[in-house]
Amino acid sequence: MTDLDEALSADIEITLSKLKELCGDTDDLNVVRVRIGAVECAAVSAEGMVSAAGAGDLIFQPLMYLNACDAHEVADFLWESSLLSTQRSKVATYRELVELMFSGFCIILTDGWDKGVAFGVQGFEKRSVSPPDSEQTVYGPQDSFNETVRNNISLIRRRLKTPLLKVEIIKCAKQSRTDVCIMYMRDRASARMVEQIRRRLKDMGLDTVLSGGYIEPFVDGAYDKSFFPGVTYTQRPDAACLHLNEGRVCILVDGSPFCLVCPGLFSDSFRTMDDMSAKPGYATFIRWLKYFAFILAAALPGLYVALVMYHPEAFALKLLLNLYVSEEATPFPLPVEMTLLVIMFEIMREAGIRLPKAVGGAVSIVGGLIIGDAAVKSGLISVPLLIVVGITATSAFVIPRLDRQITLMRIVFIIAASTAGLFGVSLCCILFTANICAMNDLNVSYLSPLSPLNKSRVGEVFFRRSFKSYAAGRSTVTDLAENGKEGGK
Amino acid sequence: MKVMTPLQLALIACCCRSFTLLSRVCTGSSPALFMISLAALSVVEAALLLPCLGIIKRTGKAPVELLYEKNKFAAQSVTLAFMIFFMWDCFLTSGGLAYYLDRFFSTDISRIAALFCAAAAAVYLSTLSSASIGKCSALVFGVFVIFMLLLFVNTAADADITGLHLAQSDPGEGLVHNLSSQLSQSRELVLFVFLLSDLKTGHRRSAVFYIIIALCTAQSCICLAGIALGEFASETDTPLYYLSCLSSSGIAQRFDAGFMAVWTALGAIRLGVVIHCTARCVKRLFASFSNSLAAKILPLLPVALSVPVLYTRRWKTVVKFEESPYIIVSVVAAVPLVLFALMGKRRKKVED
Repeated sequence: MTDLDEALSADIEITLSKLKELCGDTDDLNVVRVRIGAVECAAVSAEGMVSAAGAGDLIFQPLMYLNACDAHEVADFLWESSLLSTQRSKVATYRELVELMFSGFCIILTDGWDKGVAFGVQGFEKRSVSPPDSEQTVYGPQDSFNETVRNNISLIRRRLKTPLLKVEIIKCAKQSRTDVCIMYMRDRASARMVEQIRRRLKDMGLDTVLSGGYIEPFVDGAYDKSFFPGVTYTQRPDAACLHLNEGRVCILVDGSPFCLVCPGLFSDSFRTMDDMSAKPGYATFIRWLKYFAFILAAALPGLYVALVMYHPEAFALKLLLNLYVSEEATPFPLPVEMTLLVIMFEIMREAGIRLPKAVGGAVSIVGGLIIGDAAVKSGLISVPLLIVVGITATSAFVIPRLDRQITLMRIVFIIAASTAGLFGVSLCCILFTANICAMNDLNVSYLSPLSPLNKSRVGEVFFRRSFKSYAAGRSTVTDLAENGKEGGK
Repeated sequence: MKVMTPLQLALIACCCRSFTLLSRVCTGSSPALFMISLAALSVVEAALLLPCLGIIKRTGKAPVELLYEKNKFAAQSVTLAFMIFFMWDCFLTSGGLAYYLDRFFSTDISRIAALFCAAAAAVYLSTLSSASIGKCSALVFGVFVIFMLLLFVNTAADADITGLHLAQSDPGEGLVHNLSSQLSQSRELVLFVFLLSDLKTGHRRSAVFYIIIALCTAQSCICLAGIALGEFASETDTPLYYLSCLSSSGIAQRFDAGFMAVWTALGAIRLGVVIHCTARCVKRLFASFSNSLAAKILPLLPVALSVPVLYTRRWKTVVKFEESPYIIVSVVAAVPLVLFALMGKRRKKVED
């Protein structure tokens, strides 16, 4: 069996036969034999990965006019005295040959020279840049990342035309050899932070990396201990630029239209790019609205169950009487009713997401209108309960980044409320708060800048600063690092 | 490395103090005199902290750490004293949580189940670093302050300043009695001193924060209870609970449910901090088998011990048990004073 790290042979026949053996005689290996002058050559590529027109115009046509006597003349032409493609790389081993070939390069091998030259003439199909699905804005830019990592890099580079923006591409995973790109601002991101992320990516040891989710557990140092995500995902190049400017590290994975931002902060989930397009007053109002929506989405069903079951005296009399009449008419106990309704909603939501868009709308009509209406009319569930679940569901859509956590929190709160009332809800709140407080990755607290308190940045959690204050002084995520002046254990 | 800030340490202690304040506070016949006693208590607490802060300022090390360098046996004895004190505090806090929950609030959950739930949350909290507990305390204390403001807004209309009972016969005796009873309840002072070693700098600032915040909080709560409840504030040992029961707004008829939520959160924080400190003492005393199951269970022993007392419904005797304030005084101030004396002797010898 040929070793991947073995050097290429000067004999083209040996090289090609070993390559075929390595690839298991795969049918998508495209080998074109050609004689250039007096020299035997071969153009090696992967089927469907190379643009036929590009390869023909940029590589094959110039080579046809070359009248070479020996391999060195061809090598000299390919490597020294011509510019056939903007992406050019010398290939010395089978590993390089295979990786470049399956990345869409066309490799020219020459008989009598133990190296090849790879030219970037990629021509595989890719999705064009389109508006983002998950983080839409009204006034902000309308482009988003797609599945091609180099395309995504260009989307960021186009917005940050500074030499301080550093791009590092590393190959991850043993089998897929996926391009993973680390981007950061050299003057803002902490060198230690970048080094930690780089090391975590290199030490992954996975066979394949097919999306950002594969690398998240390795990049997020608090992944196993935390309930909330320590990495922020974004589909928007402008949001990625904003985070880069804050001294964070962006990670792009080839094949994934999302950018991972490290370290992630809790307040990230409550910021959108539209905040930057609105006046500070309105943006601040929206931010507060999102915090309120988060509380509603996570805790409202639990609070409702706790108050109705154990603390009805807290309600105003009129409201209490209304609730009593409604709940009295339903056959199930309140916690069962609430849990069933929340689970039904999650089923419908999951169905709506996975189904084709055209059918997804029908699910909401069937679920929300027909089943909901029928359940109320038949007396299976009470109207106030339906209102509570409706408010909860709508509130959750306001903070899509914490969607999964909110779903679980909601169910935990319902269980706690139904067994111990507000005592249980309060204990659960403490547990979740403690978990958030304990999250600390890359020396930055997840609750920063709120806790530990950073006076210069804490306002950003609740208010949108004015652009004048942005201009007055920059602040980076490394300002929030927990190795400040006041040390401790 | 995670950092605990001076403010976080102060807020940990304030959360613990607020739990005691919400659970049981006997203002006596004059809330005004009680408020003066609280101010005097702050002065006493500051005086008790001074030797400890002095040691830290001079050597850069907390008294117990310094003692470990000088005399290991003495240091271990002090650590043992701390551990016993924390275990006693754990017993009182865990039992108190279950007892008051059953006494005041409408929940179907039994005392033992409540104790188990609170202990489970506290154990999780205790496994975190002191910096994380500090952050959590800061947030919980923020919620507590917001809740008290809410009570203030909803009772301000019924407030009557005469409810503070400014006139009091034999104020000196009342002051001493209040001071003594409040000092004996200030167990968080020991926690504060123990956790001071987790700060690198800002020890004095932390102490100032603690004294000021604790004083302001306690004064505001007692003042609010006094002016809103009038005579009733003096007659009950849980004035803040009754204050929440009597507060009402257009949305909520009563605020005792909210009171319970805040009180539970503060209780869980206190229990978590106490277990955290006990576990650290155990680790230090029994370093060789600190990873064993026994060492992990030992900090929870007081929680288990409170079960029979709660089960037999005899917790009231524990509530009425009068602690001596000298225990806290000795645990907080004795070691630093001894160290000061030793250091003074050594300096004298060097000078001679």
